[in-house]
Amino acid sequence: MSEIKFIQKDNLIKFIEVLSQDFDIYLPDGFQYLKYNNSSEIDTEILNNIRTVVPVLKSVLIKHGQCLKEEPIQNIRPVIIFGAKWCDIRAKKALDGIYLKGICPDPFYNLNNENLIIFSSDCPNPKEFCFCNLVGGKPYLERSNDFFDLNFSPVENGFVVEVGSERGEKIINDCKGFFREVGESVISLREKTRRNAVEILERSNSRFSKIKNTNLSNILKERFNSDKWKKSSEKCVQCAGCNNSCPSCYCFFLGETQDGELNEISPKLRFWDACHNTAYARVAGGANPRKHLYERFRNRYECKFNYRFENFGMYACSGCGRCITVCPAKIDIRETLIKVIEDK
Amino acid sequence: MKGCYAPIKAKIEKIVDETPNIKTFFLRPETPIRFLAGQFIQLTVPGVGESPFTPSSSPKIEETMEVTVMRVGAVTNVLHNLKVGDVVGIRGPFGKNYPLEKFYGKEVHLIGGGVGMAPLRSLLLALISEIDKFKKIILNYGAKTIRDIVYKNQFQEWRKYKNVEISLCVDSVSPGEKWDGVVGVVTCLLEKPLLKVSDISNTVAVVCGPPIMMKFTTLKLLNLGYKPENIYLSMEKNMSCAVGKCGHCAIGPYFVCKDGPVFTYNQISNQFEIWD
Repeated sequence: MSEIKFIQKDNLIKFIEVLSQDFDIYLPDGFQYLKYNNSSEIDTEILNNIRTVVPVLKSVLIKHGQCLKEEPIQNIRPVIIFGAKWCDIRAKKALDGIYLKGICPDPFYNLNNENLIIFSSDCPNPKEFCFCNLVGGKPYLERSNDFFDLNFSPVENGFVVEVGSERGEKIINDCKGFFREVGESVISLREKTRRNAVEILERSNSRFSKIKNTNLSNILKERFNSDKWKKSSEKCVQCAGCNNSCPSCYCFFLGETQDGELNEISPKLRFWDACHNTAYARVAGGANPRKHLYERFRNRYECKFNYRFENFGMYACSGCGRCITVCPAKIDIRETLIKVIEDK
Repeated sequence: MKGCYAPIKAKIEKIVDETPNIKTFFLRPETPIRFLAGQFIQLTVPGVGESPFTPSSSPKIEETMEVTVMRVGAVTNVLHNLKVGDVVGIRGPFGKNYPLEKFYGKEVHLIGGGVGMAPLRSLLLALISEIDKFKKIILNYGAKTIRDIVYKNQFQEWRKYKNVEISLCVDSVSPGEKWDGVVGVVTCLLEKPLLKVSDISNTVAVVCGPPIMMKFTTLKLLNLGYKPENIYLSMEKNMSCAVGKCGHCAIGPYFVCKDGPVFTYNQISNQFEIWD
């Protein structure tokens, strides 16, 4: 079969209904991802939007307060994440480096790549705070660079569907009736929409274009003691919104169930933590490697563009812009980076 | 590591008061825990939380484990109130141990401060168990006051080995107290002629103590001519998961829990924020 198909909007809805018999499907509702059930209303227009407000990680993969109790893994149905954009897929790759690699895989990041199916989608209308183009991305996924099982590109009346894996091909084969062959003209429509999205991003990020051509890992090593960190963090109120909204911020702490009996060991609970919090790195004896706000503020940048780059050869920032939209002090990660890059 | 987040139960068999704010807990886990000197465990106080500790007992003993704990925070406050027979949880062991085989044929210079003596005790017991493999074992230990010295009655036992040289110091002595050791911070013991090391080029140093002590001891050792790759540091950082996921213990690109807690100074000297 060819690698590119077409599906009409109505058929896409039916396709999802059929798949829901075998898979847990998570759909974006504009704000977050919700698990599809028979009464869910599917709005295919939503794929024209940018990524959800709550990232895939924090609405599907790991839940705040998750109980780390051993569960039989065979009971988990395969999961489809529908409509995820490049930024969230890329963020997951950074998270995989932490959660799946290292000395052992995290046993509760259990939607590992074997039972997690990715139906990605193009991002035809990037906003002014989006900057995937500055950190090695595009507003769409490409088989040569990115992993997806199926990718959906909105065109008139439906979607161009590209197969990205054997698993994706099998799913299409099993539901052949919903798909039809796609003509050159429809594909060129997809290309036009993609080009347009790239242009929007290039325009809105033109004054930050230096970020694209800079080895941020080296710069952030060199400029660790730059006074721009102090200046850039002056307005920060330490709400940790940037940490909490970030699709690549992975930090958590393990807590205890409070109703535990004395002398009984209960399973751990996992809560999100944030490196902006004062006590994040403080030890009981009182020592704190990042006592000042600007040090914690700097750490977020060093972590994303320097430390994780050293670990995985990729930035732990995918340009989704959530930290920009969420910040009550209107701190723009791009502006901070430019200030540090330009600090001679 | 399946179940890396699930502690196993351990019963408190004995509690020794080391100092007014340090106790050693003798624990018997439900299943024996094999560890190497320098590795750490996460100890759960039920309903309160978890804290990392390096066992202070010999790694040759698997059925029981001793953990020496200073009362400083939320978890250790409650832990200090537990009684013999109470149950705690243990996860681990985690992290990198002291590479004993790299110490063979060398002088091993242990420098401890305060409760930082705990991991060094475990290491010392491991070294003593194959004492002929090392040229000499030198232990320099400093505490704030005489009352703050841990393992008070054990130093005389260790001194019986002919290859072991031990000197102690305290920061201050109150009037009326009897003390025949040095008065001063632990780096005082590194001044000649007190320094008992014969050949620095064939010596490894192992440092464990509070951050400020680690910093100035390391600087002093470098000054004496110790090579950065021969200075072993047990880094203390806030930890939660202990398996390199949760982020808290990061030093630059390293996670102390999985890449440490034992580092050579060489490994981390280029990183920022190591001494706090």
